[in-house]
Amino acid sequence: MSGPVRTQPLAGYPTGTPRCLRAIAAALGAVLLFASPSAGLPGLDQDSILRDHLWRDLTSRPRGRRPTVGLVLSGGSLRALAHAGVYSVLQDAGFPVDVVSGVSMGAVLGSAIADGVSGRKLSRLTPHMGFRGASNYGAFGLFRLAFFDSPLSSEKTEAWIDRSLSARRFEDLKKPFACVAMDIKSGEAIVFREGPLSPAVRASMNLPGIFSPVEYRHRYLVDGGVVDFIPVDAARLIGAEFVIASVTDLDFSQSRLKSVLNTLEQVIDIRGSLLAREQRKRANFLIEPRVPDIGFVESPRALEVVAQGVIAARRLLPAAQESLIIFSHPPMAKDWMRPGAGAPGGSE
Amino acid sequence: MTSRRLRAILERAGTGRAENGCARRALLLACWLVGAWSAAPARALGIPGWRSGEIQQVERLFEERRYDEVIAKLSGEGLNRLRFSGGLSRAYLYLGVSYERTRQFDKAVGVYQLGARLFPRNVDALTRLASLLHAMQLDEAARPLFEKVLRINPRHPAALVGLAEIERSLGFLDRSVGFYERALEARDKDASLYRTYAEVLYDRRDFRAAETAIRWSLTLQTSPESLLVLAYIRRSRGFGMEAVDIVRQMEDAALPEDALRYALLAAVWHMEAGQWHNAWSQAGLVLKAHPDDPLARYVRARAHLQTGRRDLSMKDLEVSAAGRAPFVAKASAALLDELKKEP
Repeated sequence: MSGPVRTQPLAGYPTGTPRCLRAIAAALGAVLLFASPSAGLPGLDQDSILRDHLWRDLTSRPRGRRPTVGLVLSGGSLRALAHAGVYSVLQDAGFPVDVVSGVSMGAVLGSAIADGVSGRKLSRLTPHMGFRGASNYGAFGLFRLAFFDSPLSSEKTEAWIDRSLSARRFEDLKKPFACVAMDIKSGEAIVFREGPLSPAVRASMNLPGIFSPVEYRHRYLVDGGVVDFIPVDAARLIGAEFVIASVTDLDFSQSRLKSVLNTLEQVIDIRGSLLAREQRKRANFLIEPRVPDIGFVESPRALEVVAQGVIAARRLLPAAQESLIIFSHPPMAKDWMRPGAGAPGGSE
Repeated sequence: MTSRRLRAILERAGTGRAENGCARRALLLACWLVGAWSAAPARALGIPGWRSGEIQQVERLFEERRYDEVIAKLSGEGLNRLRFSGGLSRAYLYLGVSYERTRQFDKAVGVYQLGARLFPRNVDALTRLASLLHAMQLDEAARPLFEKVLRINPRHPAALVGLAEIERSLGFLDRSVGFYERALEARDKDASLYRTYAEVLYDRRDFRAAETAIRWSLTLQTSPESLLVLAYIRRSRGFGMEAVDIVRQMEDAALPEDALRYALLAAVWHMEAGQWHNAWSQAGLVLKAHPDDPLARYVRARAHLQTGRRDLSMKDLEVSAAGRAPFVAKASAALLDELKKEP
């Protein structure tokens, strides 16, 4: 409210309106135009000018003359769809993303990002990424689960990935990508970064207890979120120097446990979240969208979750840029120290 | 009109045509009912010509910017009196705006909320409340109010602009652009609206469209804000030197303190273009007025580095690292660390 306020006539206001009401309308227009926070265009304050300049310098450099940036996408079932919103903001701002790692639903989104799917397209795809589309969830499947102790199958996930992405193998992806699953027999975290893509992503989001383990490379694999909720180490393994992590934790005290599935998911998430404390510290920058409590089968609410990702990323974008700029100073400073043409004369 | 007719009737009644008191009382009652009946629709419809003396007085005070007196007149019983004499919905607006102008924003919000509750279809009160909440960064509360205004009047420009601003600040740039475009249909001669629209297009990295919008804004009205947006857009489209020229022109035309800010911007952009001499002299201009200016020191430090005068550079960086601009201080300290590490 303390910004400069100019009065201007509010066009479109009905003629014949008393003069004082027109004055009110004019003041209203002024408040809207000048007192609202400006989101993107740098201002004339010193921090904004320098941030904008250094950001241009940084983003114009090819990989190698600046740190390799890794985007890490946590698990969290449908809550992880917020990553689509986060990526969309990062992409709009020209934030470099060189490598991607993900776990569980984060692995599904991460594989799409690594395949070159844009943030906007990814956001549009999210309502189709529900539990139903990924499995044989339905009356018959649930009947078998309840009465014959026969888990559901996540096989449809593989078909969805093959249908939606152009790459079939990790090596075909446009950006290096890694995803994490857990071997249910040894409890090991298995990091996939080569070979066929869809079975690895399916294994990464294969919820234990609900889906039967994926048998792959002589292992029985389930959701990697149990052991590595924020796969920062996986990103480092494929070359990330600066890690920006999108974490879709839930405030568990606020969640409503509506079903057996929800309860099981929450147990997995709590465990994953506790184990991820160290990983949080290892990330260079965290974006934590305020995701709503959304159940397995509520994919029609996907865009609501994506919106939270957009809001969180937009709010933290300047801080994320600053963090990467400061981190990138060693290689940038080396370049600046090389004397060039057009040097100034005079002295202090 | 109504009162003259009433007076005539009363005068006739006083001449003795009505014989007894009872008949006179019945006539008075009938007159009052006729008066109330004829005034009520005018009041309800808010016909501009109809105003009670009280609200006219308030309007006059408001126009004369005597906001404290408007507040005194409308506080407490003042609003209650207007309930029966008309103009109550406007009174809420005058009171709210007066509170705003005297920087009592919490009270203004309270008044608008009450006004919006009493007159749920009064778009002025709703828009005013929404925009105040938006200015106080309470967008979650402001958004449904703007949306309500648009349900009543889908082309309400202030509500469209309000929603566009909210969407922009939240990061939904596509939606923001959509609202701006709808607002511009109603306000197609509004230069500042075209400017903010250009800014959102810039945020969306749609530089070509942003340039079209800002050039149209400048055709309607030239302002330093619009020129600055044009400079940023030209720079982003790869015309860095043209952008510097625009800023230098603004620097020449600006007041001394603003000129220094433009000089700093030009210094940084010269540095970006590798024109170290120009960057150095622009920074020097600022340092003449403010010897410890952090950004000017930073620019000069970078310029010194180009000539290999590391000691002078470090000296400047030490000053800017202790400066008041947090990010400039951090960047200076980081560069200083690197210089200390290098042999």
